[in-house]
Amino acid sequence: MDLDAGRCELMWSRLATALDDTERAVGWLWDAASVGDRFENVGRVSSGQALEIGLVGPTARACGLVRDVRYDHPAGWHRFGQVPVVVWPGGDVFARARVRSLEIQRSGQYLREQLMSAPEGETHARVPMAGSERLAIALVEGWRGEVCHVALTDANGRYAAYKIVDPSFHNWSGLALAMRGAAISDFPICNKSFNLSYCGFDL
Amino acid sequence: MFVVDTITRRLKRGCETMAYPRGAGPALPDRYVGALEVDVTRCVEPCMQCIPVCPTEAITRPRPGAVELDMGRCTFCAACVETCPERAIRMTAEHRQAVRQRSDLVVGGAAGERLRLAEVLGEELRTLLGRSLKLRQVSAGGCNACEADTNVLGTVGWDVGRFGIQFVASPRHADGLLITGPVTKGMELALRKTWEAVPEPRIVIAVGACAISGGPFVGHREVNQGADTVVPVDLYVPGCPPHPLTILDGMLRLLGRAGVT
Repeated sequence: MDLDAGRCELMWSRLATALDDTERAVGWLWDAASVGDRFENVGRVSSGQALEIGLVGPTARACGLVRDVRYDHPAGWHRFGQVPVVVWPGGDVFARARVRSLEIQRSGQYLREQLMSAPEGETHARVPMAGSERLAIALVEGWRGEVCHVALTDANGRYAAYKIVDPSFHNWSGLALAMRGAAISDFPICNKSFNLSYCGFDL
Repeated sequence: MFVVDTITRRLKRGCETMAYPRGAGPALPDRYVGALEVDVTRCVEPCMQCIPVCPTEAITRPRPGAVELDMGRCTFCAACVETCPERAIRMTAEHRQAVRQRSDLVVGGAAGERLRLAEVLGEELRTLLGRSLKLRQVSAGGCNACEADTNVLGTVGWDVGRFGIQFVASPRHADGLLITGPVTKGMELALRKTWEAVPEPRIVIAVGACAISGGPFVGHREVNQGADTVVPVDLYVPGCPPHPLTILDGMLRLLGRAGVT
């Protein structure tokens, strides 16, 4: 479906309202002393651990890693419209919340820029039949991080296998590390700050 | 001061919960497809044009009669609507779509079936539940779309808590399950165990094409063909994903509270 000028304008103004509301709510969150007290130095994952277990997405970026598929392997539109990569050091609940709040700002800004200059042209393209006995890999930066698609075709060019690796597949181990030596009362806040998919682990 | 700020901000925002179902629901987008209907007077044999364009094989042609469209498989892409030369398959923008029986989702055919919207639970179960319905959500291989449209019901705008509906953190605390996803083989045992952990009598709600029939994964060897191949289902909410209004309408129908305060 195409996005005409009227829809672009409508989305632009709705986005402005939503971002404004979010900004206010997030400001309110950072203002609370209890939030700082609860978020700082809780559920820490070091950048070394993050590298070792291959964390992805906002969780990795909150450990100071510059890791974003759109930045590391820009393809399609991302070669022209670059998304800023938000990184924060620390690896604790605070850092993960900080990365998320900054990503809301930057993504909002990015979306609004894109809506102002939406490209013209066809929205659909015909895809030719897949070749026989091929292996194809695609990476997507999802909202939890890297999503990896792998497809294998058979002799007739039909799918022989298709596997998706969800970001949570990598990040569940991060939650386990964040909880090491911590009290069980820290589990809920760590769990929420990783925000993992419960069915992504065994997709 | 933080406390004063908090109170002032809350007061400024006022009540943000929608008037529905007492008043109007949220405005639906102009591209919203809604329930599909088959005009059996326009669907002429032996035309088969809509059948191959359906990505989930939701359309079949029994003979004699008009095509049968299974809304339990439908992803609402509306390719059939665009393809039909006679405009026999139509979008209605109707958000009410939840049903009690799987077969009630099949529209058209020789008998010109329409959706048979869900009826209330039996008197005994309704009395037992009273004004409370606690649900445990199980994402059995869902893509997060149905989960997101269910989750939004808990936010201030929808506030399902006002109907006594709440999502709880354990099946032991629940009156029933709300299942999304086609039930992957990896999630089958987990779903079965969760269902067994809900005290009887329990209800099950299947949300979305995947949970109803397998949806886009229909026939795949790594998934079951929907939730009712594993546990009995009491309410089917079609969509890919369903609009939150469709899910809420379904739950309120089950409780006998649709359209009433």
